[in-house]
Amino acid sequence: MATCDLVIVGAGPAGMGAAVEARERGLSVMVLDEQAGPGGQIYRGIEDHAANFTRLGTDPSKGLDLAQRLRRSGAHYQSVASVWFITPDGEIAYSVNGRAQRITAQRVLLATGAIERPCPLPGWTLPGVMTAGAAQILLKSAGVACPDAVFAGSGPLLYLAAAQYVRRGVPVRAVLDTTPAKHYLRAAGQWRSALGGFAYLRQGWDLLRQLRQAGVPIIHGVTGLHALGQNQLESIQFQRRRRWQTLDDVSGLFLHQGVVPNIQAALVAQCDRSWDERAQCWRIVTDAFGRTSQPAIYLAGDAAAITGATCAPMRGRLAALAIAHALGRIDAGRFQTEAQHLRRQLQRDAAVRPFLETLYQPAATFTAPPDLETVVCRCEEVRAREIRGFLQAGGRDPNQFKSGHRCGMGPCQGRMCALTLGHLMSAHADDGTMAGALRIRPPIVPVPFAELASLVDDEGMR
Amino acid sequence: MTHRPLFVSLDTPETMVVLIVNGEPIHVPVGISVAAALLSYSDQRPLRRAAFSGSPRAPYCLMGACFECAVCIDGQPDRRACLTQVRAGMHIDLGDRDGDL
Repeated sequence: MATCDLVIVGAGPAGMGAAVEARERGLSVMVLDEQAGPGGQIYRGIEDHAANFTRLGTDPSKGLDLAQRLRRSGAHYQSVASVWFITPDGEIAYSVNGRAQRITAQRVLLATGAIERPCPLPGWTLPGVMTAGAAQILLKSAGVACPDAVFAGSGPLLYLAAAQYVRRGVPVRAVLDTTPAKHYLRAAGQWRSALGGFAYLRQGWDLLRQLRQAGVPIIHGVTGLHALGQNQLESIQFQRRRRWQTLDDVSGLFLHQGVVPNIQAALVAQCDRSWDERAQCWRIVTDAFGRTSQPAIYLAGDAAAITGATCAPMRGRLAALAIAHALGRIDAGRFQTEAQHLRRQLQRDAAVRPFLETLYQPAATFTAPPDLETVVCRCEEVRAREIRGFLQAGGRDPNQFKSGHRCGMGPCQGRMCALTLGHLMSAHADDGTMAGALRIRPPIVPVPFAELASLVDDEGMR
Repeated sequence: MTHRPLFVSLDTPETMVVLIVNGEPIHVPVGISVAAALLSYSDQRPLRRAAFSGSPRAPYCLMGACFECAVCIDGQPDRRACLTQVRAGMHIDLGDRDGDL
């Protein structure tokens, strides 16, 4: 079986930053990434589509520079590789174009980034209902847009994606902001944090101004959002100040309720997790260097905690330094000097997080949908009604619900439903605390049996 | 059943390739994902049906997380279209999607 010092999962900004740093410290590095080219979601398709980024008013140079440095670093970069199993001691199984392969590494760095928080609401399975991130990805990596689009939800990406539509001359029907009014008050209490992130706030105001100038209606205080249609999205309804409003002939509804760490790979490697109440998501327990409860497994970038693309390369480099130190490639003095330099830069950004996380906490109706007909598990079509029935019958364990009702057992392996299931259960728990988490079992992406069999044929099963 | 594609191209693509979707050729730009191609250049709907109810589905997250874009590509079932780049002559099978609900 192939071996190397370090396997990095994910070629977004954190993974690319880590790969370059680790190579400079003399480690042998393999980078496994699901996409066709490096960049992650933020710089998706950057090597082929830099012109699209420029047209959207985004400077592609940072992403291009990271991708070029990865290409020149001497790291073995494997694209279209889906990792489906990781052991705590650094054995990895992955598939490339339908062929399963294995590699062992002394250390594994998971730079798996973030996914958008699931937005369960009535009608969210209809064709045409997607995430704001999906709209942005299609714009960046394919230059396509949806006419008659509505952007709905809460958080910076919602306004950025809508503004990027406007910058490309695509009319936007409306932006529906679901941020509850009380969150503005709560966030104001974090004013020290807000001042630290003044640049972020100014960017937000700029986006609002651009949307207003383009004549896009921005509606605040939206609740009760749902999507209607027969074979695809046709209209949406929502409440504002207790009055129902309908938007007809809507072909695209792009939802957003913030992003959460993508921790599936870390969970299958048996890293400990904890519930982050302010950010309303599970996080893998890590220290400042991305060390987890498993000595061979590290995390960097948004996979560990949401801090965005500016911080991600630095957090990748920090983890790579710690790994180089752990493997005896740099001495303690050098490690501390260089790590301190990076940590000082990261502290500036960390200041704004309490403010952003408080302001953009998802409204309870989006984490725990009140409409019982709402589909919670998209793959297995489990509705909120079934979860309530389970709770009324005295059920409290999400894993018991999973085995009985197949919630989280489909191809997405709980990525789209585990948070919602947890929220719905904790809403009914006596003390309101987050119910236990869904256990994640390998493979974390579906692997056809023939592919598994080919692995056995090639190498013999241990 | 055919429909207008959900997405439209904002540019005039330079180089096109031909994909075969359920036996029908479609012309799409090089360098885009199969999901983008199906959403923007194919008039076949629905792109997928849910396993049990048969309700219509389409790509949702485009990041490889939701598996709503899983289609059969060149004979390999359940490939995520959002993570697969188009290639000339690629065969895409959307499965049995007959009839409206």
